[in-house]
Amino acid sequence: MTCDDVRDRLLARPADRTDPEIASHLGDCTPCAAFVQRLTAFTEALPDHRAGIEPDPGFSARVVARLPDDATLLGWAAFRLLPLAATLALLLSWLAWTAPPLPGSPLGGDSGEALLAHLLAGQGDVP
Amino acid sequence: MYVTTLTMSPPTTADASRELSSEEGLVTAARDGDSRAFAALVRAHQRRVFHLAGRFYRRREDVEEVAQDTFLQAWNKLASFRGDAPFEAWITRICLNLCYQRMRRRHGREESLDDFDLAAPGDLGRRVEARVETARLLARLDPRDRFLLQLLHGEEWSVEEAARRLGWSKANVKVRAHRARKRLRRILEEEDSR
Repeated sequence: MTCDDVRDRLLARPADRTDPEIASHLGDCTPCAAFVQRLTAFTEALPDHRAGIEPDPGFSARVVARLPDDATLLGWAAFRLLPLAATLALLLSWLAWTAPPLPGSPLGGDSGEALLAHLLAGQGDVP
Repeated sequence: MYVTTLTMSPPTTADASRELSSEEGLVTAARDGDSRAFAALVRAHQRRVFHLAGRFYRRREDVEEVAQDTFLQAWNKLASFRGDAPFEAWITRICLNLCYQRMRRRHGREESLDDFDLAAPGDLGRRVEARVETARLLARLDPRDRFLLQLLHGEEWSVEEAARRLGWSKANVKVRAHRARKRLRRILEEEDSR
């Protein structure tokens, strides 16, 4: 077993240092023994490594005070829906612009000529 | 509780209080916008959330901020809580994801050794030394590596448990853990060679 194998295995499973093959290697290899000693100290200290901060009695009240009210939610929804509304407006404008005129409309057919004839015949204003 | 809600008679005050005394009832009420029910849920889970956030942050203001954001996100996403896993598992996942995102955003901003409570009462000699060494090594690690090593070795979760609680695949946890350990090894070997 090489130093590389021993280190890789102990990084994944520190408890394997008691394995006879690994223990034998560690007995003969001073650098690996020093490496494992530091690794073990690190992994064994991790469970205790936390801030140990407890919530104070006012914590839940502070959370509730930050809950969004209906007006905020409405504003948030409106803000989120703004791009959708803009896209929809653009799409409708485009459809209105490109849609063929309704049959019977003076704008129908060769629209320019029809409209001119309509106006010259004195049939009213531009529809 | 189901029996209570399925009876033909209208629910009594006792029924209502029984409903609110169960976590399921609190979740249902909070989902309907009852902030008092939600406050009860916060009180039931706040220690767990502080404990988890305290695994990654040392300053009270950081821990408090993560904890508040966890519960705010829970409130906003309550409609998506299906109840097929315990509320505790759901809130844990939200908290872990927030810690992870925050640690990634703070990439490069090392935590100072001053942020660690190195000389907690009762610690003596070698234990203090081990705490200093652990804090120093953690500060040298990439925050993402630190995150995973603290769950696997600090919380002592198995790969399966970490995957389940984080909502990651087992393969993802294994790959990231392997990378984190490789980088830890590199740091230890670099320091040994000096």
